[in-house]
Amino acid sequence: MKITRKNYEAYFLDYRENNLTPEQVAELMVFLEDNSDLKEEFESYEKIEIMPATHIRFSNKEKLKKIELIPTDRINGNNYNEFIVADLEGDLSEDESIELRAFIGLNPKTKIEYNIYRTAFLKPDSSILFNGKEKLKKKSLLVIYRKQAVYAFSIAASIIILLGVYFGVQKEPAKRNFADSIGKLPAKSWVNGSQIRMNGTNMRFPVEIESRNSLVISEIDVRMDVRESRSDSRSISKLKSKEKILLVLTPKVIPYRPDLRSSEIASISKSLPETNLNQKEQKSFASRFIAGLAGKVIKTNNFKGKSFLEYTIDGYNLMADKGVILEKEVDKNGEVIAYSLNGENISFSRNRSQTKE
Amino acid sequence: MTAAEYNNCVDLHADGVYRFILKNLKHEENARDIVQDAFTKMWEKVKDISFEKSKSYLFTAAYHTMIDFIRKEKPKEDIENLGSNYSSDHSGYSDLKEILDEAVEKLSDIQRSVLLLRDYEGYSYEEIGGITGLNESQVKVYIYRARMFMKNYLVSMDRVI
Repeated sequence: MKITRKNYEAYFLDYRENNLTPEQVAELMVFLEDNSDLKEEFESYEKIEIMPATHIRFSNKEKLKKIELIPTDRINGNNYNEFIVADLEGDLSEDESIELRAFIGLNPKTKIEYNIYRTAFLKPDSSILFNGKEKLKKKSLLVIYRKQAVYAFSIAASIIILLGVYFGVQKEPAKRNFADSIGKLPAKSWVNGSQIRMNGTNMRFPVEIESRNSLVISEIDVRMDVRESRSDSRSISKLKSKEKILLVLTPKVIPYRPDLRSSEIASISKSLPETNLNQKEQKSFASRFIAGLAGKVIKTNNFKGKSFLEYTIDGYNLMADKGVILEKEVDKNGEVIAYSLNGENISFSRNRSQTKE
Repeated sequence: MTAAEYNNCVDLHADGVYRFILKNLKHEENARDIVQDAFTKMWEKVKDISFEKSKSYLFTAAYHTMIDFIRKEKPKEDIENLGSNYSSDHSGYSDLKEILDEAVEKLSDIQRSVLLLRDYEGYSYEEIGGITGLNESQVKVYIYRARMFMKNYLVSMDRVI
């Protein structure tokens, strides 16, 4: 390479370090003659040497050394780390695992590395806990298990519905005995004289009976002592046909028997006490309380137009995911006379009227 | 699952999820928020998640929320290559656990996550892949790299066991 003003410095350095051949030295001298302005710089070049700081030493040199490892069939110095990790991860086959142990046997220092890998496996710190687990939980007053709810709520709701219907329909407990039925006869009744007829020793006349479970009067022979509201009495035959009289009724109840003769009826009648028309039913306190309460609650329409029974049905349908339908039958005056519940697993009906005609 | 099973999941998995997230984020408050978020998400789908799959769902939800959080906090860094800086602190450690904890912190986010799922919770490569969205091969590679890093960290010049 020819010496130029762009590369002369390298030749100056090589000259100082005695790295130039005789021919190159001669060429350098010619260059200096041609570039006399560089002679001063050439003269100033001195070989400056930095003495090594031999007091500075590199510690743990041994760890830098690479050990020449004895390879096996598949494992060598370049891949034994992967085999160690795979073995600890459980990814080696039995043959591979055996070969790794053989490799470690041939190269004992790799056993240290194997143990270091094993030490580096992480273990969860059990002292680290999440505080506030309770706030994550969902709380409920009643845990409803869907499959069980059908039976539990069906039973409970059915009872509620039955109670609601019972109290809704049953203003008064049904009474089947004659005395109670007759006991509901009005104590006083205005009738026309022409409507009074004699039937042997008995009188028959139309009387409006306030009783749901009444028996038609025609089936009962009632011996009545009839008197006017005034203290005196008159013979029936003297009653004027168009005269309105007030009958004070003190009936005696004789059970109906078609074979009874008039004389027998009279005899039986004498032995019977008068029916107390003002006698009230003897009910327990509980039944009277519940009936009274239920009567008020059931009849009320203050709950946004729905009755207690309707709300009961709605509640049942909501809880048990049912579709029970409440149907009501009303009379000409709009009064409910019958309830009917229809739905899955429920069918219930109750009529108010059981009159036999 | 039922509400009772959900509450059982809280007792069984809240600590584990919290530890996993805390080791990744190294921030208690953020870790708590992520745990609560994971359980909230599970509750919203409680009828669709079986009790047997609840743990996997929680870790998956928590992991993805954590990644979103990290990306939001460190938008310009490559998540796969984070954590390759060694600490210049050459103070000696006498406790192996401390050394391991510091080594874990030096891992990249993904390497740390897969390693914690593997060692803390014992998940298989496939399960870890399901949680992190990686395939099995990727999981294995990350775990292998993480293990070699941990080992080299332990034997590095200033930390001698």
